[in-house]
Parts: sequence; structure tokens; C-alpha cells
Amino acid sequence: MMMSFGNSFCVRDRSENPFLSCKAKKIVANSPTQRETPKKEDNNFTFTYEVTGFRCNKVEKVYIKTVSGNSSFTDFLIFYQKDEPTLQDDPIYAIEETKTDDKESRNTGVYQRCSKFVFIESYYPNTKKIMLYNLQIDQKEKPTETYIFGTKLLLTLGVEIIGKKLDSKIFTPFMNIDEIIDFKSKMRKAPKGNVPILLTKKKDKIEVSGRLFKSGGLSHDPNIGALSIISNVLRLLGWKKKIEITLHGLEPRHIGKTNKFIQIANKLNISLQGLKIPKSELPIDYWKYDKDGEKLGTIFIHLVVENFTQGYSIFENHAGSEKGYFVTKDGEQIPLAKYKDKAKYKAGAKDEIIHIPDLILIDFGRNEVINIEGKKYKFRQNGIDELKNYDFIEQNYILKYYPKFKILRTVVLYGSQEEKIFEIEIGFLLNENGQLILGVKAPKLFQKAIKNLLDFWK
Amino acid sequence: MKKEIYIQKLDTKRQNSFWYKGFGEIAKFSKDDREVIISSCGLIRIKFPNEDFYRNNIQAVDVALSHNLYDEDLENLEFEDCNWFDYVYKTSNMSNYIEIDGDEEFKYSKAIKSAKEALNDDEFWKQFLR
Repeated sequence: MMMSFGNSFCVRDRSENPFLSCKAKKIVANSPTQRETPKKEDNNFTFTYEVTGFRCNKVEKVYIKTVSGNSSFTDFLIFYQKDEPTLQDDPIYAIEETKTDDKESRNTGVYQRCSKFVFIESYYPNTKKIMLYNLQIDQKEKPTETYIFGTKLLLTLGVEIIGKKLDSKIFTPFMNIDEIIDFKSKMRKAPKGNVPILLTKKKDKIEVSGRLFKSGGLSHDPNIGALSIISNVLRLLGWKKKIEITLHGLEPRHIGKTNKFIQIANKLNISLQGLKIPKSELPIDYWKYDKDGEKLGTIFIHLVVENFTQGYSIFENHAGSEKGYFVTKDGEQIPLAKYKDKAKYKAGAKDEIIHIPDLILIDFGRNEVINIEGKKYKFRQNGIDELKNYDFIEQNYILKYYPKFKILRTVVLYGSQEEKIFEIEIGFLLNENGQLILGVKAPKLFQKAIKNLLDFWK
Repeated sequence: MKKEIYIQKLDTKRQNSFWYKGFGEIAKFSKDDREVIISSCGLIRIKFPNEDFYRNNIQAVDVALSHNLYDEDLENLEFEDCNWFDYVYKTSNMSNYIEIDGDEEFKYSKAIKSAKEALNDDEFWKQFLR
């Protein structure tokens, strides 16, 4: 663990929504009054958010930065150090967050996430790996074989499981290779015609069967994750001889150097039966600071509005994030439809697709709803054009659930060195220098939010 | 055999599990005391041409639809994570559904066909007696 003056940095994958989940929040702080406020330098935004509203004897400050990962990147990296993290710094925690809902909560999903822990092991072997379950459904009373097997593999790899009750008699790390082979062989097998994942120990190798071919290439999730973690655990438990994947279904043309399984296979010295695996290196950098995404602008305005005004988001779909639900006036969360008329769409009417904004903010004080399209500065005209497509969502959702509200449409941009906005459709620009530029007809909510932020910075 | 289709095939050219992300349970088949449920499972992480970041899950599907893409177009996209169709099984003497590794499918019609075949696979169901 790196320790200096007690500052903690959390870098988060840009695919994560702008707010840490409740449980993730508890990792960096534990306070209901917690906020994420933009950090400044000379009245410019530094692309760092400071978490305020908590007290901790060992952590003086908590900062959050948005990063993008080059490959199988975990959702959060936590650093405990004075200075802003660099690639050379070891995070103290790498956290993968699993949000499940009642529709798609099969345990085979655990394998898909396993490859992330296999990846990070190569970059930061000393970092504590955490699987954080942020469950919105009740836990099953009796864990399934798949879940037990997957979790035991994770525990063997040193991953800590948080957010799920684990029976300590069942959920223990595997102690040796034979135990893994035996456990897997006793698990129920798939119906005929499928390839079961099975381990066979021979004198000079361990064979692991499992299909990797899918849709014209090597892209079989969840088997990529399952075979990766099984192989990694075999190596960890001391197997130095050959590990060979059998019944994979691949041909030479399916194997690319940049494929994540091929990269892992090179790292762990895994072979594919009947095929020669090309030499492949992991990407040099595990992560980089995100400095060019359109999302930087919409996330900024989202956080500033929520932290410095009474306004808040009723729908968010930041580029590269999870699509949220539309929140009605009564607080009910409803999914937005994809098509105006599904039958017409299926019959070929492609304009039946519903266009949705990247962010919808509500200004209760002024009875206004603001539909926001986010874009990079260089694509601003596309953003302006997109504003014309919001009639359906306004008529069928916003006016239905917020009937007396006036609706505004505006574009929020990120990028460039520009210090002025000329197009009246553009409400706000966050430029590459962190300068905050309001449009000539920016919504009052934006004006208030930026004014209050600047006052806060004084 | 009794079949309950919760989510119909969206389009003959959109059968990849990709398009069914977020739907959850797709269909249920039962025969005698056997039941099989098909669900859409797993995460999507995908990079579209001319974009320098990954889009995830339902947002990725929305963007693919807005670009008017079909199954054959998906092969040209850069997938980091793909979703799939998965199954759970149950007999009348079991209180919970059981999932099994290695039975994933990726095409809607194949997923439906495999579920029907699984119902008739007597050897497979013998495992549930233990």
C-alpha cells in the first residue's frame, strides 16, 4: 500500500455512471452528505472531482478522475497517495462492480468478469482485487454449482467478494489442482450437442475443454472468462507444464493478436489444440486519463447542476455509460421504449426508432425540462441536428409525466481550445483547458449552476 | 410440450443475442415434469467505427439500431464483451432452477431449438435425480 499524506484517488472507468454506487461510496467514504465537486485551478476545471461531505481520520481528501481502459478494465482503481496517480503507481484496490437485476442475473455472468481480474494481475499483481456485488434482487438461498465454482476460483486468485453473504464452509479457495478437477467433474453437464468445460490431467499437460468460437471469431463469452481464470488458477497452484484448450471450435483465421484471450494465452502460456497461437503482448498501458470524450461535458454539467442548484437528472444516457431509467414526477423509474411503433419498424420503417437525449435535467423552480445532446466540439453541428428528433420523447414521456413544464433543447460540448460559442443551440462548452463557457441562450439552470460553482471556487 | 414465448424473434436478420440485451427471460418450455427457461445474459462492451470509446449494454444496442445494423454487421464491430442466451432447468421435485456451464447459445432460433431438444434429452435429465 502506498501511503503519503493520506489523499485517496479513485479513478473510474468512463463506462461507469458519474456517481459512485452506494456501496462503492462506502469504500471511499461513508456519509449521506457526500458530494462530488469539480476541482479548480485558476478558475478552470482540472478534470478532477473532489468528494466532500465525509470525515475519515486516515483519509484527508478523496479525488475522482475519469479514465478509459485499453482492454478488460476493472470499474474502479483506488490509490492512496498524495499525488495524482500515474501508470507507474500501484492502486491499493481494483474493484469490479456487478449490478444485477431480476431479468439477467444468471451466475454464468461471473465468468465474464473473471478475465478482468486475470488481466489486472499482469499489470498490478500487488493490488487487492475486489468483486463488489451491488444486488437489486434477493440472494438465492442455495448457491448453484456454477456460482460456487466461479467464486472458489476468484477466491483462489485472491479476489475478495463484497456484497454477498458467503458460507465460509462452502466458499473456500481451491487448495490444489486435483480439487479443481474433481469439483468440475462432479458438476452437472450441459445437454448433448454442447461442449462441457472439463479438466483432464495427463502426464505432460492439463486439457481444458471449452468452446471459444462464436459468430465468426474468438468471442465466446462467458467461456473466455471461465477458461482464463481456470488456467490462471492452475498456474497459481503450481502447474508448470502445458495447459491445452480442446474442443474450442476455432480455426487459424479466427485468432488475432489483439484478442483478449490470445493476450491472456500468451501471458499464461496456454495453447489451443491444433493451432499455433501468435505472439501477442498485453497493451503497454492498463489505463489512461480520459481527455477527449463527449461524455466529459455532459457529466460535468450533470454534476454541477445536481450539486449547485435544486435541479437534477430525470434521465441519463452519457456516451459510453449505462442507459438509465426515466424518472417520473412520482419517483417511479420507467424504461424508455426503443420504437414508436414496433410493427411498423419491423415492416421497414426505420424512422420509427425513438431518439433520446444524452441527459434530461429538470428545473423545478422554473418549471423547465432540459433535453441535452452531448457532443465533441468538432461534431457540434451533428448535435444541433439531433435536437430536431426529440418530438416523440417529449410528447410521450416528458409532457405525459411533467405536463405543465416548458421543454428546452440544448447541446453540451466538450473539447477544442475555443473560448466562445456562436451557435444559439449550444448551451455549454467545457473546453480542453477546463474553461467553462456558457452559450448565449444557455438554460437558466446552467447559468445558475456555473455561477454557484464559480462562487464556490472563490 | 408447452411453450411460452415471452419475447418474439425481433427480426430474421437480428437473431444475435446482442439485440436481446435487457429482455431477461425469452421463453419457457415444459414437458411432463421438466422445465427449461431461456434468458438473455451477460454484458456488452463494443466499439463502433469512428468512435474512440466503448459503449455498453443497452446503449450499445440503441446505437446499433440507430445505425440500422443487422447480424452480419456485428461481425465488423470491435467487441470486448458479448452477451449470450443461457438456460435454467428444473424438474417438479426441485425447488430451484439450476444453471449449467457450457450450454450457451448466441442465435435466437438456435436457442429456441436447443431448449426443445434439451427437454427430450433423457440422459441429461437423469443428472437431476441425484
